[in-house]
Amino acid sequence: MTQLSEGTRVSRSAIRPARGRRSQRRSRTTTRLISYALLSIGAVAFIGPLLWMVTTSLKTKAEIFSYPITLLPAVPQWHHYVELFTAQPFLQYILNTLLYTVIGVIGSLVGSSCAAFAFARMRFRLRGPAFAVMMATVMIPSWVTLIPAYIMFSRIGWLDTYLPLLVPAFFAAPVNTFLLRQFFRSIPKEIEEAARIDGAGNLRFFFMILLPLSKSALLVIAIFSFVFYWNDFMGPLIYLTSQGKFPIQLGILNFVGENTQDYALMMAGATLAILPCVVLFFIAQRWFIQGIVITGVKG
Amino acid sequence: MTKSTLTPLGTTLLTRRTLLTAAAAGAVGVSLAACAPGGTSGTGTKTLKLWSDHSTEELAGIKQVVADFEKAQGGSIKVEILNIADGGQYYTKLKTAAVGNNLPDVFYVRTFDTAPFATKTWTRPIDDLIQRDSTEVVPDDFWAAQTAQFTYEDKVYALPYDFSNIGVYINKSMFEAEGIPLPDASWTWDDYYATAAKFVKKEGGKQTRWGTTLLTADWYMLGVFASNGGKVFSDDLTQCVINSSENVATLQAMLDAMEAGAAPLPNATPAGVDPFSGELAAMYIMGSFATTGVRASVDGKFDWDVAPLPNGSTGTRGVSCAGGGWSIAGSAGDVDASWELVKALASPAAQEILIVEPTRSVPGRQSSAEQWAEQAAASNEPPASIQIFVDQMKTDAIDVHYPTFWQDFQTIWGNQIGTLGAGGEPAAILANVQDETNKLIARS
Amino acid sequence: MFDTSRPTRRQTGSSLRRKEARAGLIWVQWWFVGFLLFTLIPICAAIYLSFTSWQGIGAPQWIGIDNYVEILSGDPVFWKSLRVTALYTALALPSGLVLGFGLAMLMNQKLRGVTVFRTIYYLPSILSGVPVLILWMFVFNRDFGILNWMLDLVGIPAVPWLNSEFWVVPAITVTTLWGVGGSVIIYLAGLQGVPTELYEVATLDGAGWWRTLFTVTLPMMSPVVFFQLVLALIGSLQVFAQAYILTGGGPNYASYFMSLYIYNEAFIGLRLGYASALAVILFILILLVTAVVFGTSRFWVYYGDSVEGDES
Repeated sequence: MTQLSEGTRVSRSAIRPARGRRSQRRSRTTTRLISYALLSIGAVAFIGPLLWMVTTSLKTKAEIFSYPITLLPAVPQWHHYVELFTAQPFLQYILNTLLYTVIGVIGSLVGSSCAAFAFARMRFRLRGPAFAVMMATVMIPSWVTLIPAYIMFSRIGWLDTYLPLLVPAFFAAPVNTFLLRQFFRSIPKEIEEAARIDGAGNLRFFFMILLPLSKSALLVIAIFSFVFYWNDFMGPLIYLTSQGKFPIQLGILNFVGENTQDYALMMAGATLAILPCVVLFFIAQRWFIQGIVITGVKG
Repeated sequence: MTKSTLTPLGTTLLTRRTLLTAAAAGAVGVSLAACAPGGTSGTGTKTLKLWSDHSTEELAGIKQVVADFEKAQGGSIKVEILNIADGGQYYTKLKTAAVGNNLPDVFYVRTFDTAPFATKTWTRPIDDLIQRDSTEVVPDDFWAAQTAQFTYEDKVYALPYDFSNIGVYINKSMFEAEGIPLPDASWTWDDYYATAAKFVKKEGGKQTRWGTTLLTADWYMLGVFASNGGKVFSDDLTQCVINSSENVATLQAMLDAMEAGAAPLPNATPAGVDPFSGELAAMYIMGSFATTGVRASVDGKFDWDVAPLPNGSTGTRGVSCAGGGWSIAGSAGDVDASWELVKALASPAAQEILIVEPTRSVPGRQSSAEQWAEQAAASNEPPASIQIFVDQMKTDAIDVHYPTFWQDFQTIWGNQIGTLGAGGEPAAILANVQDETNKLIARS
Repeated sequence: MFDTSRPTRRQTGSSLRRKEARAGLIWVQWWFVGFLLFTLIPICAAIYLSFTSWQGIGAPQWIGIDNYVEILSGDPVFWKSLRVTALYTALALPSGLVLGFGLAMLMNQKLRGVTVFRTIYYLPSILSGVPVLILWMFVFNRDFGILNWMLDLVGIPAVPWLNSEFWVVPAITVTTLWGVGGSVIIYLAGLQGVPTELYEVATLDGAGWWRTLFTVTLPMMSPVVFFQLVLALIGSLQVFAQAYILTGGGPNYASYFMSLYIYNEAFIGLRLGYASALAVILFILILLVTAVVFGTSRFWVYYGDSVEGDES
């Protein structure tokens, strides 16, 4: 299916066996050991701040500000997690975030896959420039479009709703479209040609063949969209004017202010906020790998 | 039609049906999100929007005041509160709404915001209303300095919430352990730095104790500069004149202290983390608003109190104050209803709930401040000398109006002062601050 | 009646292409409408504003190219900001790519517990916002932070991470690298898509690990790397949050990235015209750099035998 950039030289492989069995196994174990070591060291650096966040959520105020640094709380203050819900309408925040995220993900999947299909597989005259323009929109710093967009949405009357954030989601986020386009382009032409020979039009090809084949890429987009919308606070900050519609990210901001700072509650809120993403990733990881394995075409 | 030999293996087909269901769900969801609950709760009820940037703890008090207000109004006015504790985010949202002409009816402002907001008519002058209701409002009960800060071109733009200043937190136990006498009200900056130097402790090349933390906050430094005879802004508030020999001397003294090890670097401690409660510094320059926080962090580990700021070369203290208050938007629909709300938020009863009870920052009303000091003294908790915050404001508050370009100045100041102790020279720092600020003024 | 299962000769060739073109246009029109409305209009508004002076009240005043002239000839902060942004990109981009790719290769082996590793490395990338940055403040604190505490254990003197003009950009780079897990996942997906037979052929051919990397892995991964490169480039040039919360742009503008400069001009100074002009300039720069990357992609990105040969 593909060619190596260097030609194979059969004669050489026939004459010289690769390596002795035992030395092969030994070098593989060494590689594994080194890999484990490297990964473990890195893991400490990566997980460290997270553990810090969780332990901070369980410390008393005195412990948070003490020095030398107390790594673990003397008595874990689990009640902080309960206080979260009494101090603010946290359950409402969670529901808001859930709704916002789910719709955002659906929108991203729908919009990006359609646009990516057009850009990847269809030929039309403005394709190149249109794609370039779409990518270019990512390059504008968002601060200057914020105010014009806000004014525009306030004229339409969409303030204090999630509409300014969700409706655009259905119209193809450039990054997701780019990813899917790359993926679609890498699916061999033979499949498409075979489908066309079977009489499939564009729509059938798209829904029945292309999308199922792209499950792993779609899953990646879904995960990334989920994380994006789950963590998005700038959009809700600007457009929402009712506290009851806040997502979690805005809610946890409220624990640390100028005169009083409750870092423990803020970190507890942040920990809760990240939990769904963790769970999602754990589950998705398995499908994700399965998906790649099953798509035998690439294999 | 022959069946395609390329039917995908096993797993779920993304059939047309599933896609349509997803689209339908999406549409339902979007329309749900679009449905804005709330709105008027019946004809004749006015809804006011109130925005503030307090933390959850303070918000509880505000909600209480608002609930009392709604009850007092007999249900004819309903208030929707929106709170975003992070100052930066709050202002981003506020300014975006202002530019888009969607300001709430009443919102929290700081004394820094008076001039910029007034020139843009984002806040409404309330002199006429104060005059009309002066028996209820009792404007003389507010701090003169704060009313001055809320005034722009002779018009008042907000009613106060709180007014804070800075003092020196002292670790009494550490002073006693080292046999150093506690400072008295007549101490000078030189005394202060000398005292701090006595606490320096090093263990094997690493410093384990400092004498004091330094505060380099912009508004606080206005007072420090003033106490040594230096000005920051021109009298007509149109230029920055910070680059003067007196100010250079002030910064130099700070730098010397850092180099002697008496103080750690500026900006070395992130907001909220204080080496004071970690027993790493004997003194801590911080505001009246930090007393509850320090109390919780220290938690009885050592004996502590607060002392007034040192005197400067002019023989005076130079206490700068700043605070927050409530403004009515220039575009507010129902000014009368908004004014009722503002009065309620600034009333003695509200001050009681919001600030006196929790003994947080200093109340915006002098009468409430007296109660506040009494309450703090009666509670028998440190700091015992909490009264000095009130006294300093009465006697040593510097007269300052924050100019329209204050926030630009803040950014530039923060940028430049961060180099002090990390290679920045006082003269260069001040020269840069002055030039850059004036440049931005010219550009606006 | 008609056998429509096979394309007739008349349908092949140019008319099929036309049909395909029309279908493509219909697909894209839907997207274009939304794009026009929600993205293009604000962008055009911003471009218009860049030629005006506007403080947020009243109407914007047209001043032609005055903003641009001032930026390019009378604003040292602009050049400093540009330098700092370029420095950060030069640091963060390669290190992010190498780290992400390297981690993906490490985790692409049949190690026991690799799922745990994957989660650990991925988690930080889904954390964002103010709590995370507060964490970093604790970590980088010169006198009381964890990082200097650890360095001290090894005997290295404390580094004024966020206060030193030299160290502040590397420190911010570290916070970005912490989030490299997202790209690791993408690389993993790409790596697992490399056909194993290629590796077999390489081994048979006697290629060592290094050679395999350059002749098999990298070329096959090049579309993915390209994707990551473009995104990381665009992202690095717009870095904002870390500087906003951790340093405020200092010390002495050593972390005053362009995005932060634009934000300050827009929201602190309310000089919306000037801020828009800055944004347009940044946009043009990003566009140029990305165009270069796209242009060179022809030489090193390898799509296999699928739809290569099409333009862009």
